[in-house]
Amino acid sequence: MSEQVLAELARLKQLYLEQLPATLEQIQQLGQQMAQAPATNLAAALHQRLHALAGSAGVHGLKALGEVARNLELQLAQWQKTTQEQAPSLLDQSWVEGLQLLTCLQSRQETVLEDGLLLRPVRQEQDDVCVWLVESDLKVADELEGQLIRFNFRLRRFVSLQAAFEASEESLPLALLVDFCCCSEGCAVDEQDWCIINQLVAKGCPLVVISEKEDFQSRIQASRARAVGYFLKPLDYPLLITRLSHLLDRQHAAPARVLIIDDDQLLAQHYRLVLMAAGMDVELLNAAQELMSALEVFRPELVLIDLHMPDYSGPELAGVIRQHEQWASLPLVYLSAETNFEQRVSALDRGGDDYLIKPISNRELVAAVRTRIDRARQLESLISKDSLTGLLKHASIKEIIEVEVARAHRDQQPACVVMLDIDHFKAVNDRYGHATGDVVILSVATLLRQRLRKSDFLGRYGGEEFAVILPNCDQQQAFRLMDEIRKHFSTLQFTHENSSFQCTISIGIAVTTDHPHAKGADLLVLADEALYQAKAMGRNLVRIHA
Amino acid sequence: MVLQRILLVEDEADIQAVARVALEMVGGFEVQVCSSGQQALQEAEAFSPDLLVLDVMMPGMDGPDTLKALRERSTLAEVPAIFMTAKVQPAEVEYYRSLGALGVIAKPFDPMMLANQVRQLVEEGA
Repeated sequence: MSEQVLAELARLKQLYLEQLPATLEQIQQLGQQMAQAPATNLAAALHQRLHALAGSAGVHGLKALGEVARNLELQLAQWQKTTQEQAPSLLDQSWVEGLQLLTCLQSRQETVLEDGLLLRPVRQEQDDVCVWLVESDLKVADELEGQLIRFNFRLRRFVSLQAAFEASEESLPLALLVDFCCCSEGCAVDEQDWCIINQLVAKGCPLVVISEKEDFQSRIQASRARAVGYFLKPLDYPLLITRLSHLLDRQHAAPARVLIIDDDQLLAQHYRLVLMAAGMDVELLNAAQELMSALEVFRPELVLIDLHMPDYSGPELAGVIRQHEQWASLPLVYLSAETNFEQRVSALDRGGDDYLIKPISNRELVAAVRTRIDRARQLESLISKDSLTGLLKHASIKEIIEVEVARAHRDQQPACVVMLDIDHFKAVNDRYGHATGDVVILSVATLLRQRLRKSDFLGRYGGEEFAVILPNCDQQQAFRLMDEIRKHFSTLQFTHENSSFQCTISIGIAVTTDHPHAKGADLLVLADEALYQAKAMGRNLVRIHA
Repeated sequence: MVLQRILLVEDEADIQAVARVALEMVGGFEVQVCSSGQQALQEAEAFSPDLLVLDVMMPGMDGPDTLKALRERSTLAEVPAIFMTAKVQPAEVEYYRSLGALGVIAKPFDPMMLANQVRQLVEEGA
């Protein structure tokens, strides 16, 4: 029954998408005519089309497109209400950009507009992560495959770049490993190989080069091919796997969170949609007095502040933010049409990090915000992440659990705190040595990272102990998820010299809904108690705190 | 009251199609769609609906006007009505209620949820 419904909805959506380009083209034309020579009859025709689009895009799940259309509709309605003399100013920059945005959203609808991407998908179960290898040396390929499998990376081998290129029509790997020495005779990459490599990279396939040669020329060649890694043979596997994990992290990165403070609601709404279309989470601050609680709740990674606002100026608000120690490093970026040099400098003196000048193009806005957030994340990760696993450190995960548990109580949504510990880890270390122990720890980290959703957080809580918070996840879902991870881990084969061994994990879970007054720290204690019950009951088990 | 027959007044063909799936396939209702207020006036009585669902903003006769005109027919005077609209401020919901509607459903609606929303409004109104 529901499958039938979904199929029917999909069919309707397909029909809708087919006629969408023509609709948008019409709107585009009318919209541009309006910007150049506004007229009431044009406005009426356009208003009707925008209204229809605003309503219909949403029911087909194209939420951002619907919102942009609604925004334009409102802007136009305001124009229609105003007397013609003062009207032209209403259809200015933001009007034209809104129109551009419609087109840009349409061309990206497959990737950006699907509800999932904007609404942060709850990933069911993740497929194995696939890595591609172009390598003619079978021994190297076998060995690599053996290593990667242990970290849940699946290796797909290709005999030539051409074969890999053909496969890229269907899907793309996490990374493409290419042995430069096997591309062609004499260890040089020929023209045709170059062409294929460039096309694959352009498709969004990260390139990792494997080579026997450590010379400047080879490295330059890799750099020209925009390789994200260069590994010498014999391969250093832990290093390679760490690099692959980082690539995976980047794919899993939660959407950037941006808070916008601007008294011009229409313009703020426009910026919001532009950033949303680029995959970010954006909130608008409605009242300046709510600034600190908005920071607390939304935890933006960057704040865009209008310089001039009627009651409180941008720099004044920046000053308030900076009075709070915890927000000392939050990137604050002013947005303003201010051209006065002195004013701009003085605004930066007062707690701002950067200055963007209005009007700003959509692309520039997205690039400026994204670059700042990427940098801030890089820095933050150096500070807050464990160097072996790349997971959050003790203090950081604890803090995040605190925030997420508070959020869960507030939103009345269930969230689960999970504690996880490797069974008999000390014995592994004693018998096989610390280096092997580290591999075991690393593989728990990699497995968790792959199985959890984008919105989950995980940290290395102690030596062999991990803490996880699963927002919007109930007891049953958490149990199912963690039990699968437990089962999967127990099947991993670890090798040391010529012997192989297996390890297990024990897991304890505490759910917010079972403990309505418990804070994050309390739930950590409860999850830890459940973990010890699991240990006491024989290990290799998942327990939920009753 | 048995809720079986729904008259949907909506000018947008795309929304009509999705709403039909949502109400017929998901909700199990019997639905008649009218593309304008005028058409609704011609066809409503013969269909004898248990519920009216009206889009607020339509060219020509809008939703509130259509409802007013339908209410003048004796057989339709008591049939419960729901509006669908994009803008749902609390004040507006009150306004639509004052026109004799049970409530308002926000657009865009979720096709999987629409039938439930309709049922809920009708139950609350009963």
